[in-house]
Amino acid sequence: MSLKRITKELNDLGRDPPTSCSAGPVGDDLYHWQASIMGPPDSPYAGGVFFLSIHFPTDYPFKPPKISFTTKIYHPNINANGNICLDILKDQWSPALTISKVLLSICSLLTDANPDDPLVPEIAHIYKTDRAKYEATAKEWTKKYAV
Amino acid sequence: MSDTTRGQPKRNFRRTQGPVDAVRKSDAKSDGEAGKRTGNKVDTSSGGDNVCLICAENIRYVAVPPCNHVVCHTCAFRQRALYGKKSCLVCRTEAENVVFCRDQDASYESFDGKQFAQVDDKFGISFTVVEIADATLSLLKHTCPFGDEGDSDLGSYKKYNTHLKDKHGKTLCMICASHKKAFPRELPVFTPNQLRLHQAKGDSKGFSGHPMCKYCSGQRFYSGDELSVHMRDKHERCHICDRIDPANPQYFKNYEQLFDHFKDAHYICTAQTCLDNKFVVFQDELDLQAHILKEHGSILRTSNNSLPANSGRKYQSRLSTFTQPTSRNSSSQRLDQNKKGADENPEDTLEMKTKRMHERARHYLKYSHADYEQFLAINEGYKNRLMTAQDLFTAYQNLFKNPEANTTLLLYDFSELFFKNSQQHKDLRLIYDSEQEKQDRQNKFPSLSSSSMLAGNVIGGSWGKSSGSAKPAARQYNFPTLKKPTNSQPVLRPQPVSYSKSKTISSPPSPAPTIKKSQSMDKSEYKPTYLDSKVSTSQSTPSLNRSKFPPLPKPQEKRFRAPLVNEPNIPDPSQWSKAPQGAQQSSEDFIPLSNGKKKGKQKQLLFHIGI
Repeated sequence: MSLKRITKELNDLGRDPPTSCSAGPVGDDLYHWQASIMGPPDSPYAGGVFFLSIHFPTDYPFKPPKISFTTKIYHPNINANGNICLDILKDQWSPALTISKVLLSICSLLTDANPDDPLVPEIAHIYKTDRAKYEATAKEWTKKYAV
Repeated sequence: MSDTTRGQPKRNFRRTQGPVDAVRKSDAKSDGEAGKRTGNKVDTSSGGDNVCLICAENIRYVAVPPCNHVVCHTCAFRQRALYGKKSCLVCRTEAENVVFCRDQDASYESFDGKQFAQVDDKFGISFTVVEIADATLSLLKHTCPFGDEGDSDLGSYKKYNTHLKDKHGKTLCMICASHKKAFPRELPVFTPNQLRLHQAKGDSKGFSGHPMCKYCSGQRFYSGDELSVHMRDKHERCHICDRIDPANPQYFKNYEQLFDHFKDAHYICTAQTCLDNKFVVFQDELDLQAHILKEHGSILRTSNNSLPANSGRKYQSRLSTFTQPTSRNSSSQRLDQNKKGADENPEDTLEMKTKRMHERARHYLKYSHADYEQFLAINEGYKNRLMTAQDLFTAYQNLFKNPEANTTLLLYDFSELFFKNSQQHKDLRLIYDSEQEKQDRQNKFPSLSSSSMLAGNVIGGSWGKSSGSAKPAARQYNFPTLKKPTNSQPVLRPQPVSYSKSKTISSPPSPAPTIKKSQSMDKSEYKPTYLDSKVSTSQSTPSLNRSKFPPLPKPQEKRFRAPLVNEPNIPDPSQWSKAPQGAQQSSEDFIPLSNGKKKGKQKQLLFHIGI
């Protein structure tokens, strides 16, 4: 069941690629994809190319895909492991969501972080108290790891 | 109706676009389906077939919920019967009842007042035709796939499995049966050997077997998620190792084993209260010392010899025999340094670098295939030394017309693909550096000044070194505030931020000189001017000045007295010869309390001698 749906998503992605992100299988395992996101221009991540790994559970799409950043990124909702704190990847997942939509959501998370529900409290604290410092660090990390 | 139904889903989706929009956007076919129900088929994306949005299978019967997000009857029934949820699969709106019918264009409202052939109260499903009810409800039946006993339901997975074992020598995977949320007929039937393979290694793509708990012999779990819940509940995880390397959680069978690990690899507090409290353990010796001083200061003072075993020294000697802990120790410098420690990571593989450049190029070219081919051709040309770096750059500039495109970054990416000491790499870098400098000059370092503080802490120049652009970076940090005032108009986005900064930065300097004068001259003549200047500025905000005025004269008085105040401090140097003795005495007081802290103490002693 999941295989057909994943194949369909892959075809849709090829036909109508979303702006500023891309995704596709790693090797011939359709359950393991790699995705890339361009840092949104209006964010401190501008200019960076961020890679993510996507693992589809066999129960997909009833269970959400497991998505994590493989490129290091300085963000209140993304930890050192690359894990992303995003509601639609957890309890707010809907089987009608697709990888393309999830990637777009992650893009918008990069533009608008959610410091009130942080995964890395230290970064969230800086984000809230010293925005300039947060942006500078995020830019540096982008330069360092994503360019 | 369409308005209300459209409003509901949006409320549920917080960070995505509403599912309705999303559905419309990605699947051209499902335009009218969401909310509107203009009569389109649910999903006609691939090849115009009626395909379920969820499972991508052809639709036989449809499920119509009140929000009119139509999916196939299997998906809707799976959600209700197996997952036990009554929410819409698309928009998550809860619905007590759905209609299962044949007509894919039907809307929920069209069934108002109609008679249904069969209604299932348990799952909240109304069937328009008995045939659909049969097809749906029979999905739950445990029927023998070898045709024994016809269509009769064997009742449960347990009975189904015993039937398979007794009659056919086959078996089900009972882990899948209880967790997979699959209908009985969807579960594969295994021979015992196949089952072993299935559970241990996985027998299909995307499935690598049911993971086993290494402490509970033979106990397997449906997936890593279930296993980690088990590990969390039944076993212990080292939170210190977690902090050092979050990617590799260290589990232990029980607290005893975890405690042994604490003793061997970390710094545990052996005070009885802490032992009773459990988990009082630290990443490095310093933290432990701080803890001991803070929590057990009184114990230390009273009983000198009771706690020496406490301090990390004992474990330090042990550390050398352990491979893991030593590596940990080297990288256990705490979070921020941990991040720096990961500096080795940015050494991406060549494959990653290539991919990054290609992704960037494709994005700049708006995923135009022809342009991308051309880009590859240009690169090939440079690689084969058919063109110079400058030619390459102009070719890039001609190709990438998109204003968003940053050709210098492409240049940088491309240069990374050559060996560091190759001429091609150097040529590209040369252009990149000069372009970067040009851009810097254009930008007049707008936002960087605000980061000047940070630059010292976070960047540490390591990036600059690796990238070879250390020089421009250094320059930027040298003139942060000077460039500011010239930027009279905010041209770039970051400027508002830097502006507020520049104000705060510029304001302190103005008082500073006056203070210097007063300090250096110490003449009463200067006081009036100093005050005058204050008055003149104060006129704009009189109320504030009054409050500021009184403190101003006072410091001046103090300045005259200051030497007197300082004098008690000045004698200190003369007493230094004695002071170290005092310090030694005090340190001697401490040493017996914690012999193991010698390392730290030695440092302190050295410090004294140095003075």
